[in-house]
Amino acid sequence: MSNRRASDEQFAGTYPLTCASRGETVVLTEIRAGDRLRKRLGEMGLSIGMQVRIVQGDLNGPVILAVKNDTRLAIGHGMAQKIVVRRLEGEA
Amino acid sequence: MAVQAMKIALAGNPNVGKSTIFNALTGSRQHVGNWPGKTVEKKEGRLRLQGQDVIVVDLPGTYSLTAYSIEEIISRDFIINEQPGAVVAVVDAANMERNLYLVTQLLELEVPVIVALNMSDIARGRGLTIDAAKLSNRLNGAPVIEMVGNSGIGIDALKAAIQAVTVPDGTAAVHIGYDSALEREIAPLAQAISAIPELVRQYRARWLAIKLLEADSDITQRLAAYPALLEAAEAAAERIENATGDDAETLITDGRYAFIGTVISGALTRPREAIETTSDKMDRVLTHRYYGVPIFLLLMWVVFQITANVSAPFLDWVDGLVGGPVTNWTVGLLGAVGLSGTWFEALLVDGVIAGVGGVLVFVPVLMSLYLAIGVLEDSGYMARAAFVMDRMMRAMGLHGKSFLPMLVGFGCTVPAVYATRTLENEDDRKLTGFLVTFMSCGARLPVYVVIGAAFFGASSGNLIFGMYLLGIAVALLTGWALKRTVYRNKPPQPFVMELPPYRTPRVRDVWRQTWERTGTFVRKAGTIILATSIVIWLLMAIPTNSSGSFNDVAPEDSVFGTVAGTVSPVFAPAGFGDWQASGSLITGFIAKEVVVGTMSQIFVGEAEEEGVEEPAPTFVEDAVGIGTSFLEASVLTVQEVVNIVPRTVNIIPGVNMGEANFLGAGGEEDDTTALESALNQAFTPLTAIAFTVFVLLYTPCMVTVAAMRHEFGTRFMFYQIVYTFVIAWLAAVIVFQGGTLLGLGG
Repeated sequence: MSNRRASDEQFAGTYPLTCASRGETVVLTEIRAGDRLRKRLGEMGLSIGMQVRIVQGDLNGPVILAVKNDTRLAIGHGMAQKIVVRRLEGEA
Repeated sequence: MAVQAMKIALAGNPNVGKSTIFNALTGSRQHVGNWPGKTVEKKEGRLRLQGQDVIVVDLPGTYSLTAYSIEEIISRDFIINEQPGAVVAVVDAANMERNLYLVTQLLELEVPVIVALNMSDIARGRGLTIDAAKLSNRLNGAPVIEMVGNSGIGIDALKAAIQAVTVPDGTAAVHIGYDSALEREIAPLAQAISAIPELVRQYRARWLAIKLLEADSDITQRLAAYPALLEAAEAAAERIENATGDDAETLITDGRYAFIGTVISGALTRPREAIETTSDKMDRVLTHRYYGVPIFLLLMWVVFQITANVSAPFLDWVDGLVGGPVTNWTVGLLGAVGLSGTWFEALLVDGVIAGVGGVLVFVPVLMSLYLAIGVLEDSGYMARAAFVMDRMMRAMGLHGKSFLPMLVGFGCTVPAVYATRTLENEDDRKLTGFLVTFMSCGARLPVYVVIGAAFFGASSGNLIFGMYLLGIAVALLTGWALKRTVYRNKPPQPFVMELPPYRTPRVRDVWRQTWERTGTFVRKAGTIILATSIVIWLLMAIPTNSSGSFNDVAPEDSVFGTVAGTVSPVFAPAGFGDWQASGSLITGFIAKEVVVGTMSQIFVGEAEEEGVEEPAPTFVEDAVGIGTSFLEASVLTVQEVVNIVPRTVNIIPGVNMGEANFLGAGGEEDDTTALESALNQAFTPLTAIAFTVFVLLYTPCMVTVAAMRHEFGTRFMFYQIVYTFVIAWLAAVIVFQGGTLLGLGG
């Protein structure tokens, strides 16, 4: 598999983007998607190791992310479930 | 020198103000709005510089130059095949990091790039400091121009920069360095490419090598004739992955962003605090998981209140103008030249004035609609509407982005069909194209307005709102059904969409857009509707039996009446099986505006013959009347704007807020138009609703049908025609029969 993983052992404290709450800043640790989609997300500014802030979070619906400081991206629910994040250390 | 005019391309992410800059450069008037995906096809304009003309090509907005969507391929092919003299990369200064990604790809294509840092005022307002000289320096001297496109700031500097590139200075191409593991593979691949003359003629070797490592689907397809090359690239990508643990594409994307990082470091500084912008705070409420949909519906409700009620006084005013002075003066003028009582008079009065005038009456309504849509678009809310509707759209297997073309459909279905191009997936595109016709377009609005005014008075706004909701509901149901049959087993496509920041709508942009869209409507009145009116008049003047002669025949014995009468039994189950209604619907295929035009030709023509002739007012009386009634209309409009508040509050059950009434009781009541009173005799409220439902859903106009064929093919077009007709018929029959059963038939 060509998926880029932060680490192969279970990463403590990671969760899907859908579970992140509004106002939280997180780091992307894994994107469970095909090559094409991952490339697309990368171009839009979403790749592993990137920091994003959750502008609008939702367990069952789409989310809005602040990416690269100034970009706001709407991400569908299905995709948000496939993006795994970790809370940024030092943040509340 | 008689050389071929130089070409310049405008490229940039969606919604960075490309269209505004294109308009400023070429003096044309392209549609501008605050949501992604307006420019779906490339457009050309001419820029006059000292001594030469430059052709400016506005490419569709793209995030990148990979082969992800049609637009990206259009843009990339243009740059590779047409080799423009330079590419002006329009960059949103307030969103620079992400925007520069496209610039890195342009640089790799080795075309001269001019960076237009647009919206620099917004960037500054957000506390960002940009050092353009430093940026230009980091980009190897590519000109970087700070601009505020919509106030024309920086346009002259941009023109000067374009003028300068017409003289090539041999600046070395910017080299974006990648991870060493990548560079090790790029070099031999590029060398192999350089050895193939056909490829070198068309592509830059390094660029092509990178594309091959990225496994670009479009490029691998085009290079199918070089299997050795493709194999070498595949092997190289594998080696890269083994060596680094990452795939080549990710490394390339990362490499570009790393390059961007070095370009902006020190050239772009941002304030420490204030992470959450005003726009984010607004999104907390407007895109909220619970409030989002109700807010969207409320906004739509207000929009249709505005279109129905606020414009109504002006509608009456224009109607009075057409039916009174304009008709009187025409009759008077024809009398003066001795044409009184001839067929020519009948053609002008009953054909042209009734038909075209009957449609032009709705200019105030459409202006209000386009104004309201313009405000929503320009404020940035439209993109949020797509976000908010994602949940519902997902239920039918599409995603929120499909809702954008559907919103465009509220204005006109034709651009909505083309707007489906922003969807990456072909099935989604077709399915969305199938649904957009149910979104009630501006041309159908006059029918609701006439019927609403004739039967439902002040609550006609609710009828209109109901029609729009019904349209959305039928679209959603159709989508749901198709996703379970024709498009089965196709998982929903991933949804990623950029949201532009909210902003105060700019009066100039909104006005220009309203004017442009209304202008299209008026132009249509002067061409297609005029022609149809004349043809219909002729068909209504030619008798089919010996009971009458030309221009002296009972309407039902005319060619038009006979044809419509033959068709009309089809509509009998829906309650409007007379030849007049069928006739209007038939002509509606030419353009939906014509439905009302035909109705006024048929109904008003009939009514006039029965009506008592009033003494014609004098010219002066007419002129004074136009002025006073205009003032009255203005007062009533203000009143209706004020009344939107109580009407909105009154939606809450149990609340009853009074409404303002500036001109005293019944100021509006006696004011029914000739068409409205004729309709009151021809329809009952129930058949009127069934008729309106049919108009909402039935076969779109022929321009839309042609657009469907162009985008999706002939077979799709026929499916569409049949399906919309059947659905419309079923819905109208259900309304009429159901209503009759419930005892609403009276």
